[in-house]
Amino acid sequence: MKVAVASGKGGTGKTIVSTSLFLSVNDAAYIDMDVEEPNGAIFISPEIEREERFSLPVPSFNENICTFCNACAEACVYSAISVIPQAKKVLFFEELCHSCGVCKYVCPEPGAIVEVPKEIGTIRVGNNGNFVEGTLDIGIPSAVPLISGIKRYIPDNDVVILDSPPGTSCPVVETLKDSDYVILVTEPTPFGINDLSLALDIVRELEKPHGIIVNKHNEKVSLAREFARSKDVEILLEIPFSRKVAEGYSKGIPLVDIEPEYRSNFKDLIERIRVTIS
Amino acid sequence: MKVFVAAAGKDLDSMVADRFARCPVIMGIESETGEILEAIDNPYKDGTGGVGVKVANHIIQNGYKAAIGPQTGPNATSALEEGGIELFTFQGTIRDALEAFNKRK
Amino acid sequence: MKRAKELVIISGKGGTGKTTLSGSLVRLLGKNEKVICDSDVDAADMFLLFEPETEREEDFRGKSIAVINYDKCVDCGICQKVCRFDAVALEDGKYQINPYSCDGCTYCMLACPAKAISMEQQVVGKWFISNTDSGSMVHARLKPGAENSGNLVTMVKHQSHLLAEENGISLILIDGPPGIGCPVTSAISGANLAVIVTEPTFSGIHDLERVLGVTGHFQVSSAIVINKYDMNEKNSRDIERFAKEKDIPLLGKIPLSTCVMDAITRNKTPVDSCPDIKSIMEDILGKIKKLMDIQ
Repeated sequence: MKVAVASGKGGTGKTIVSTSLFLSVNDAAYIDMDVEEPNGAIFISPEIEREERFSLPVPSFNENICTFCNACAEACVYSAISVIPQAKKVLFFEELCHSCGVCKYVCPEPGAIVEVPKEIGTIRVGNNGNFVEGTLDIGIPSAVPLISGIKRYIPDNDVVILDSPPGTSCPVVETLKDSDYVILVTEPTPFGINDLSLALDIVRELEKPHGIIVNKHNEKVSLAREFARSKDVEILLEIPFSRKVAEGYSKGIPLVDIEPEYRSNFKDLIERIRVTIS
Repeated sequence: MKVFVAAAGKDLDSMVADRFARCPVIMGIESETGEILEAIDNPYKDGTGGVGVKVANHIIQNGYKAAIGPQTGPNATSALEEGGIELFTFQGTIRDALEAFNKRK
Repeated sequence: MKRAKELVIISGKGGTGKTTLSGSLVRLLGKNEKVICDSDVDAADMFLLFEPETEREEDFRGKSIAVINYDKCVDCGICQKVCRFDAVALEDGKYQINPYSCDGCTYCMLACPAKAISMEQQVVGKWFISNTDSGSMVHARLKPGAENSGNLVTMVKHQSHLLAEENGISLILIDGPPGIGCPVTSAISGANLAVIVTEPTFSGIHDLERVLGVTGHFQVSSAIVINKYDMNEKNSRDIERFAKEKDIPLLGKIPLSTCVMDAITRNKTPVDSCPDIKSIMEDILGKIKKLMDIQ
């Protein structure tokens, strides 16, 4: 089963939870889909076995064949092409291109447009295939193609943990789409709860079973519990705020190594999720 | 000469817009006579990406030889330069812009 | 008048205290000194601090997406074959477009032999102009799961400039999105200064380097603030050394403070209730003004 760990807001402890799940459960796999800021490796220290560059097709224009008819530029909804008949030139703005293939399709001159690969990121696989992460190259506009590319590397382990990007936009949807269960990690602050509420909307729209983990829990603040009650969502676990954990985290030490008793909590959690979705 | 103007309004007394691609009105003028060839609400104005390229393509494909407006963005600039479009930066009314444009060296 | 200058607060990683800093700067700057622009449109939180009264509300139209007319559809499946975004699936015997995946490229519409596909523009969010005690604020809300947040960022920045022009304001203070993707690119493009809020954690440093790659790529001047610096003083020193090596100004260091945590829990900025932090923030603002050459 695939368990996605998401959070509306960044910095709530998504990576702490997902790496802890991975380190606590036997035969689990960890997939870092937070390709803009992949941080799981810091806590897992995987042995990387394979590293592959990931690319997308982009058009290349042959100005000797091109008749400068402008069909490609007119069809491109992303305005990535400028055809200049006066100069017998085609300008291509690569950073605006979405690799959709429409320019090549509408081009009436065979060979005037061919597609060439453009690298957008790196996928690393380690720990006998049980660790996968993607890293988006700087300046690449969308994380979605890389996230979708990572999915081909997901092993068929009993438990697969998907560390989702933060937020509620398209990369998150791309990650959650194929999951069987979503854990939403939040912190009990007004920001945390506001963002949790947005994340909850999307999980419900995608009709995924879900529950909440409250990180930096504070017995004096009942924001998260009140919210969970009002929205009828289960709180799966509360992780109290601890300076020891925060300091350990700052050094790249996983939660379950700082506080080993959490291992059984996370193991139990996976078994409860298994029951919920079966 | 057929000149493009990034305009704030639809007549010669309107101002040259202060944004190039997101100008309110796209205007075409015959520079010698001051005749307005086109003056349309900029359909790309509220577009969300690649607006500069869209307006540059409009200028190039419609046979304009020069463009009057504020500073253009990087993508639009490279397209317009490649297209041999003369860029004439001006702040003020379109009438004054045209006069200055006609007197340019 | 001159185009207003843009100050954008970003952080490679979420949760480092980006909004805490930008909220404090909002409080310290005069009401008519800046337009507040919340460009973290995926998870807009600034409004929680400033109780905005909405004056104007507009739909944000994003891309158009493909819609199949089943009266014309001949079930040939060409749309599915040509789609590069895996947005077409055969479900219940019908080809269906997944609106979350469709990128609006029009390939399926062009390729459909039955002309059964059209493009329909989607309302993907809303943007607002609001009044707050600390000045006018432009903010937005993207529909959860919607695409094009970068474009909505461009829109709120554009509206902020219009508002600044209208009111003769010369600074736009932008609370940026986290990460390094498209929304961040939109938030920093054209900015006069990007202040990066980082924290002394492994992930914080890692993400700082990545976000500096982005500001460097787009040639935007950067400066750094270390938040919660005493959580790991060794890492903080490493960041300071790193900043020095790269010649990036360090504007200040903010301690891990229960007062800040309490303030945020009550929807207050630390400037309102933590005097120690307030003076650090004032110092940071002074340095920002110097770097941006504003009075």
